[in-house]
Amino acid sequence: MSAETPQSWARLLADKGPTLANYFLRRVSHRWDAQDLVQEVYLRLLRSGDASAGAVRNPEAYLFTVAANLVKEHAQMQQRAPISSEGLEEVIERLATPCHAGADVDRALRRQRLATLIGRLSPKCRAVLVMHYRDDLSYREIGEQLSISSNMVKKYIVKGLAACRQGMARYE
Amino acid sequence: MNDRRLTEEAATWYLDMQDAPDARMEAQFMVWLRRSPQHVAEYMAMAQMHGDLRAATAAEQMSIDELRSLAGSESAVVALHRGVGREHPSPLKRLPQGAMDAPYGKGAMDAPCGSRFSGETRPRKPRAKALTWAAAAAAVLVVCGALTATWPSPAEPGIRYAAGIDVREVTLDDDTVVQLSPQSAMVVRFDTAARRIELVEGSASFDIGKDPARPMKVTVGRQQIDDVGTVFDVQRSDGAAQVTVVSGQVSVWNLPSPWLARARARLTGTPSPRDRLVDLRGGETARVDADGHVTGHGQANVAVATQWLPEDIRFHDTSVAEVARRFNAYSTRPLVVDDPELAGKRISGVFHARDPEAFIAYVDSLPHVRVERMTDRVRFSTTHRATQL
Repeated sequence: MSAETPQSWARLLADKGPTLANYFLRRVSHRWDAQDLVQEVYLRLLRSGDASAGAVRNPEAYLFTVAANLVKEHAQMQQRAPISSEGLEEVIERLATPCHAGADVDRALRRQRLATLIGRLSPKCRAVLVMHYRDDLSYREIGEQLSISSNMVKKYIVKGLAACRQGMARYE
Repeated sequence: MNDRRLTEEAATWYLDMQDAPDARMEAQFMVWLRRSPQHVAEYMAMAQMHGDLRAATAAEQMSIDELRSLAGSESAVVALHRGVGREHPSPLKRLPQGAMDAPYGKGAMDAPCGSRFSGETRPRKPRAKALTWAAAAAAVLVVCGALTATWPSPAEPGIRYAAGIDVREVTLDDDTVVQLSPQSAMVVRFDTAARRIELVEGSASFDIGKDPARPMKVTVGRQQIDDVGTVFDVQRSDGAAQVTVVSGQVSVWNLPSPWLARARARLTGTPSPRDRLVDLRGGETARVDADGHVTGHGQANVAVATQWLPEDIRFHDTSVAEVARRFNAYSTRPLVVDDPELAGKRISGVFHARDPEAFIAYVDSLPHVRVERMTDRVRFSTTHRATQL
């Protein structure tokens, strides 16, 4: 179990985390059920030294590292397109590449549904989400645009993320 | 149970972790992660959603200025479409198939005796019981009189409402909302002592407004349904009534006149004519014959029973509480707004009536709003005094 999480990995994972998570949670034609993967990640998290939870620096990167390692092991177990040594980036690149034609359609459909869900949010929530994700504005900048506090901006993003997540869960 | 709260927790953690967290916060996050595999799954789902949102919002056409004015007009826009690329339902299409040729109520006046339905809302049981007795006396009187006179008395004019080819929604001055199916008609007679509605033809869905001083009596031919903040659907045909309770509780009583009770006891051996025939809860249905027999009692297919209701709910500058109530004609799990400020917030838009989830998600996206899904209702409340709703 790699307890070390080099800074470069952390940075990589911050970018690739969504891709990795996407792989985990999609139920499209993967032998392993996403549930199994999550369960396994969870067990490894528990096993990773119970002494003090604070021992792990950058737990998010750690979480994704555990997940990536698991994916790698899984791929090796499957013996299809074995992945060379420690190439985490390679693992992730591979994950990002759709493995069948349906994936594109599926992804386009997901985005369309998500766009519909965003359209259903309250106007402020929607405006905050778009400004944050599309325009990359900071909480403070969004707050200035909409005359609300940065704290409220964050609350709206939480609400928006949760609403989209639950809305998508109903489609799956 | 409380998926939504977990999802919001995960979202909050996700944002915190993108924001240069300190060691203490990281430690707390780890503790949270280790609490349950659900937390791990939800966190990963958030990471995924984060990525998806970048892609999905890229398609948004509105400029920042437009977004800002959209947000400024907070209460004005809720444009909703279910699914993607589906055509917008035209009003004419709302007419359910078969609604025109269904044979509606004839011969109800031949009914030999009356049955009575009485609903009871749980929060005010004692009062409901008192009403039941008062209404029982009235019903007996009415049934005796009915042997010689037509009833309700034509001398009382009342206001007649009829639906054309489309469903008609009528909000009465006591806040009762009635939806009349196509080709249906009712007569409303309100005075200071009582509220009476006679369903003269077809089907209707009733969401009874609360007015303890004036009990509500809905009559269907010889059968009477008494007040009470429940939502139910009545279909009248050939003297029988199909009663479907959407939410709340309704008790169906058999209350023939004393003369008929004796005659029936001799003929059928039914000992007690005052037996409670059947209790209906939300999601149940029963068919009561013209002679007071319950011929079918079971789980209702609420979607079928209410299929004539409009497919969408349109409202303009209407309070959240009222909109929530409109959904309650369709769902056995009513939406309850528990916060006066939230209840009074005014919104406009169009929702698909059979997809209350969209409305729930909308309300849930307002700040400080908490949604609790209970087995018998969905409750909206606020986490603390919301100043920026």
